[in-house]
Amino acid sequence: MNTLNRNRRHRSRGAILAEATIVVLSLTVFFGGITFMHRVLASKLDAQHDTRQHAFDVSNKNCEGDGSGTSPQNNSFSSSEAPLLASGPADDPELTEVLKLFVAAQTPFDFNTTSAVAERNVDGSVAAYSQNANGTSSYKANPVSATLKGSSWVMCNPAPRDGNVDGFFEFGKDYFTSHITNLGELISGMFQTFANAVKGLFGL
Amino acid sequence: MSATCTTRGSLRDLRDDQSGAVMLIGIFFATFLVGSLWYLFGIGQALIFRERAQEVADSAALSSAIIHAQGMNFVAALNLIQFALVIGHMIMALIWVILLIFAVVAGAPDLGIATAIVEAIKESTFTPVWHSFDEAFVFPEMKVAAITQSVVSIGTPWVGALAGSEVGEKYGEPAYAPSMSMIPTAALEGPLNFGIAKLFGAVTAPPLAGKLGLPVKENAFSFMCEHAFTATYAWVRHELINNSIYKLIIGFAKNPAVGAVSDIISILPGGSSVGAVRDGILLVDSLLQNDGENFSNQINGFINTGGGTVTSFLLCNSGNISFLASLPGIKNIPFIKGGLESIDKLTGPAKVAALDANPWIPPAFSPQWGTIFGLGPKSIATNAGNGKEWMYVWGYAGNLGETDYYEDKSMKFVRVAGHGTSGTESVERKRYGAQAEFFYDCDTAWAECNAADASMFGMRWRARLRQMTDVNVGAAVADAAAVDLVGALLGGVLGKVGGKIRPEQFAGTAIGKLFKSEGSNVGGLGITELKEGRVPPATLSTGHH
Repeated sequence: MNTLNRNRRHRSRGAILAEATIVVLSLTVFFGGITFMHRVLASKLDAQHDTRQHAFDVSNKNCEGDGSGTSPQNNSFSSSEAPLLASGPADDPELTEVLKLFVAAQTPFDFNTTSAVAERNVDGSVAAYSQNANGTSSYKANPVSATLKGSSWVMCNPAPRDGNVDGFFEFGKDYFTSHITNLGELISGMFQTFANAVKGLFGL
Repeated sequence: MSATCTTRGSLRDLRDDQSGAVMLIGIFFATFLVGSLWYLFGIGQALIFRERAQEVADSAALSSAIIHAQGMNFVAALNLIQFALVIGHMIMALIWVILLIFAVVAGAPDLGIATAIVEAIKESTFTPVWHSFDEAFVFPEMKVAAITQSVVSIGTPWVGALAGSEVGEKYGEPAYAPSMSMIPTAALEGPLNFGIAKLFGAVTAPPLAGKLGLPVKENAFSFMCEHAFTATYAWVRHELINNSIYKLIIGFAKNPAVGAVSDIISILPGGSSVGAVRDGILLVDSLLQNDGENFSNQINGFINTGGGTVTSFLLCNSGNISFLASLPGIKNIPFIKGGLESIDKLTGPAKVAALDANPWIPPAFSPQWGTIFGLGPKSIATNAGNGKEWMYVWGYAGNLGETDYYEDKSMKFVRVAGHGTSGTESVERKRYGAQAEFFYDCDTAWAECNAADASMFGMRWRARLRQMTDVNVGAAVADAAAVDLVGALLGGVLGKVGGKIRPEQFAGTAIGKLFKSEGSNVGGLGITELKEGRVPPATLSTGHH
């Protein structure tokens, strides 16, 4: 009888051990999932904030140069981009190339609109940061990770020009650069927007 | 063993059997955690979505305000083009005056000054050149620029709204960006304005008092003459102040040692003139510097306003020229006096034809210095200015319609936070709004910033986000309507002279008769005959005998 009870106890302990192992593992996985989800959402928010800040900042600086008032011609990084580099390894050639793209791509107007795209991996470091450039690849993504993208768009604020001869011609240059060269695209875009608005209005 | 006993036994075994108990609890908690995780994920997505929705509203508002700012800059640039054209007209006027002086100086010894002036004006070969110049390079271009300005003014708010929607589309969400500039307050007074003006015999429509779209109002083309004077005065003052000889003189006069010596000399017999000269130099410098002293500012303001009005009246006069004819120096010259008065009494095409047929009359007195269909160069609208409600633009994210629902296609988990299931169905939410404004970028207060309509002669219009403000649109429109109504009445009554108060505009009234000078005939020919075309207008050119 005692042997029977002892055997039952041993079996129960074994079962509890097995079940507890499953439960603990499951809870650990869930905890990991929650943590991962937290990072995903936080990174998503960060990416969105980054892009918003950068797009609006560049717009406020008239979309000139790299948005910091420096010339983009030499493809060198200005001090305003230092925070972007600070969260990732600045000497990584891949990231450097991406950031070069970021600098170079800021000069041309896209519909006179500035846009910023930020991609982040779940540990929060900047994977790639580009403007007016799409689909830059993530940087050193972990095996269990998600690459999250935030995008922002806003139109470029006009550069202030004085009412003198220089200012007039500078204004003309701005205007032709930002409007006339994109006139066809602008008109087609407007028509498309109008068509979409009509469709939306009538539920088509 | 009955079946009942067996069942009871099985239930007891099940009750006593502890194997798998932890698993059951684990499954329960695991399910609970999965649900919680699902729900938490939805909340997280909802947070992100709301951030993004607010950003859509911000971007739409700011983008539309930026388009408004670009429109204002474009209108200002067209003002500058008109300004340059008027400067061309004024240079021709200067040449005309110089040639006239030469001719008078040459003819005066033989003919006497009065006759020499008449002959010089009559025989001037430069006047037709001036006419041709203005007809080719000034009037048509100014009209095209003014009409373009108005088209831009009307269209810009709607292009801005489309730009806001377009930015929303980039985010994948509907966005709308209405603005105060979409309200054309001029529509309230336009017909009234011209109707009253016609009653008072206006040659051209008076400038509209209200705005058509962007917060700018119309002016007669003579408006540019005033600004040409103001700008020229400012330029001359600037050049003079920065001239090295001037600086040397002022530096000498301001030197304390010179002041002390001057004071000593002043007390000597006959030495007071030295002190007076020094005081005079310092006073002139104070005036030229416009250094913020009240007196200096007032003098400069007076010169600007008075000089501008006189310049406009002499060089860009669209209406009453009989006032000019009644001036002491001119009324003694029958040829000029009679010719000007007669032409002034004509209206519309007859007046234009008379001026065309009398090339001795400079284009300074062309009716074309009025408006074209009430349109002309632009200045800032009456109630507009930095921070004012007419500069506001709003941005909204979400569908406009009967419900506050939108199709969520981008973040399907948002619905989870709303106790729904994941999917792309409609999600109830609040509409997200933002506000932006366009402004003239300068370092000083608006009154100083826009002194002499400076904001419409510089391309410094920009846009910024601002705190949401409740605006009583109805009250604002009513306010504008009241202003426009007064503007219409004034514009109508005074429209004949492009908005300038001239006593002769009360023609036909007792006041008008008080001011009206005599001499409506030219060479013995009545105005009626002239109006009816029975007399070739060219007769005027020889009608001084």
